[in-house]
Amino acid sequence: MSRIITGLAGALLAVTRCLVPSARRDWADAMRAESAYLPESARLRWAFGCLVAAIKLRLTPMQTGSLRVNRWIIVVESLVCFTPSILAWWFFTFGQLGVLVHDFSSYERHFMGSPDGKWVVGMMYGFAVCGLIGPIGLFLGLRYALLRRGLRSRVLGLFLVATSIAWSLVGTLSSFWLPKAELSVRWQIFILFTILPVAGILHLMYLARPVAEPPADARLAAG
Amino acid sequence: MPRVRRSSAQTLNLLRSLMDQPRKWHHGYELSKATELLSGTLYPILMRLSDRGFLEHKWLPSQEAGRPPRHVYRLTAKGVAHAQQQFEVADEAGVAVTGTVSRA
Repeated sequence: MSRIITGLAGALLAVTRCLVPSARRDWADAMRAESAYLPESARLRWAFGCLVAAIKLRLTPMQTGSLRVNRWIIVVESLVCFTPSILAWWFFTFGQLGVLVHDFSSYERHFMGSPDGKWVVGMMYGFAVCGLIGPIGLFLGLRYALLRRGLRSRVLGLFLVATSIAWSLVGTLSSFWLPKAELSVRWQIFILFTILPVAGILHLMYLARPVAEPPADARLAAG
Repeated sequence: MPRVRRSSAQTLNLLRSLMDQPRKWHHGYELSKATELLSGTLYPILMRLSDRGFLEHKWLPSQEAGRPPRHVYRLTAKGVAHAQQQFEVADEAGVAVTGTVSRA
């Protein structure tokens, strides 16, 4: 049994050596040499870890896809991500049934008499507040395009993400009250008011991170 | 003054181990045991430290017959300064560097 394990560990270390970039071969040799000093019981685990290290080294230079896209792409991205939220926010704030257009007494007259009236009114106020993620997100996106300033405040970013999720939950729950509500309606709500704005906010948070130096592995592998 | 970027808990732990005896040459398994890092995490960190000039390494001939030379590591002067700076940053941030970190 121990011969099998030793053989397997040796095979893994041989694969490790093949996997690492040529500039890192001496490190693969170091891992293999070290395994000769290990107790037998630890060799397989060690070899497996070395294989993981080799895979990491191989993958690092492959990470050429960068999320640091051109700032004008951010403008388009922000419009795509936040326009649905802006429209919904506008509708529930300044639209036909907007909470800032009508006073509360008119809501009482129209909605409070019905069994779900309180829920509907609460939902409208909730949308009017939660929907602010749309204009705020668009503002942050345009600010990045003009000033190259991402969303540095982690607290604000996470708050906006949480708000977007809350918005979607309320929207999804409310869709159960809609007559003939279909699942597709809830999925649209989820995509438009959660996936898109959350992706936009997370991207803006990512763009606020300091630019990392290119990994040495990438330089070595390229050379 | 530029902000110093704090190293990961694993890197801090490794720096702590290397700093215990900064002039001594350490080998990989010894560092792995001291930090409880698996080789898959340990070696990429060692390579990164070496790339940045914080770590020197060499092959040490084995004292036992039939065993291959061993790769050993220790911090450079620049690495010692970096480690001390990182400990200060970690202290300010309230990060424990002596405790066991999760293995990756």
